[in-house]
Amino acid sequence: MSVLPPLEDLYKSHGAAVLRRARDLLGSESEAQEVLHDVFVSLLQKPEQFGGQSSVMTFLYRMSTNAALGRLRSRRTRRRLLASTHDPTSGVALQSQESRAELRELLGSLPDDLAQIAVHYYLDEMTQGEIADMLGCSRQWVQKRLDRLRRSDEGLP
Amino acid sequence: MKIARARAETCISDLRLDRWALGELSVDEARVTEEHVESCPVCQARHAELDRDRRAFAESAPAFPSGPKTSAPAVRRGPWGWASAAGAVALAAAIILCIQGLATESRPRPTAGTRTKGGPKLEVYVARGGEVFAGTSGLLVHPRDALRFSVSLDEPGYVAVISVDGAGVVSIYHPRSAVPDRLGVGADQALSTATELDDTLGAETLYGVFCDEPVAPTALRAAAQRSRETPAFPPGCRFDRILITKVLP
Repeated sequence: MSVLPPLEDLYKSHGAAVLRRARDLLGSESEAQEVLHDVFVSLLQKPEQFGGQSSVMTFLYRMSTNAALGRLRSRRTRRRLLASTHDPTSGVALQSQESRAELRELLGSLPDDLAQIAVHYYLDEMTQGEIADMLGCSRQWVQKRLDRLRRSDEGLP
Repeated sequence: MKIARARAETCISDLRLDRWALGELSVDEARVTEEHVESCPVCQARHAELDRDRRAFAESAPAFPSGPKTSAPAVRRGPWGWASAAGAVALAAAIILCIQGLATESRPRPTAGTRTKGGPKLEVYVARGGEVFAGTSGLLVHPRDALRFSVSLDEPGYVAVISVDGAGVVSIYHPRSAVPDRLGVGADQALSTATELDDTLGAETLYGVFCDEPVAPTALRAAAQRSRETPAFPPGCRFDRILITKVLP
């Protein structure tokens, strides 16, 4: 069984990425900090969750994605995030605030597998191969899910 | 609605950029990544952005969690130590309730959807000894008082709070992240961060800075450091200020 580095060191080195992604997914600094807290408390309590099959950062990406998606689904006010930030023009690059808000709205309504694909493809901007490695599946499986995602929401390239 | 990637699939993902920065890539992977970043302006920009984010985290991250949140009202100190403690969350929530309940007496209040005469406004609320009260210019505060802010906007914009204290030290009170949040038009919008005052006594100026574009808080701090009397914030930024004086109890 692989062992994580001392968690406080891990927090200092890897915490920024966890917080950043949670913030981008949730659009809220306070909720992002809660995800950061929850991820590392979970590791404090059960460090054996990390089995060493991936890099530490890859593992934390998965943990933080799952934690943030869980919050998005239970969030009652996700429509509020779109208020006053919706830009009706097309082709807005994802790294803009408006596109993040659009993605959050979409994620809240997707099943788990499609939501994860959407996060890794549109937010983390991973290749299909990277996503396959992350999720432990085939590239063809990822491609099929992307196709479904694009069909389920018009306008996704 | 259209969501698009900012980078092509031939570019470097955030995951790979993060792993590269932390030395998790193999020698070959690192070499390929470095060669691509050096030749791709889009990936260079993203790499620089992630680097700034890591440095901002290193400067002002929440305290490392020691365990699950409890219901005991324990307030811990640290850069934002008490922002993650259950007691501090309860206190901050009390401040939010106060923001919703208190009426300010010194300036006219804007309403949602209307243009405010005089521009955006900053309000400050103080928590001390279990009590919360609204502050106005000229407010006397003490070391260890907790401050929380609300803003009223007449136009959507990006919001930051910058402080210049009695020693001339400029601090970013809000946001803690590298990029400010964008808020819409409305009155009494509570900001997410809370600040515990340090021991530096004397006059302190709190600037609420309201920008059309997401200006990095560090750039706003630099503007305040260059000219503390009247900071020359970037074009597209307006400000409101509150003067407070920190004295011993």
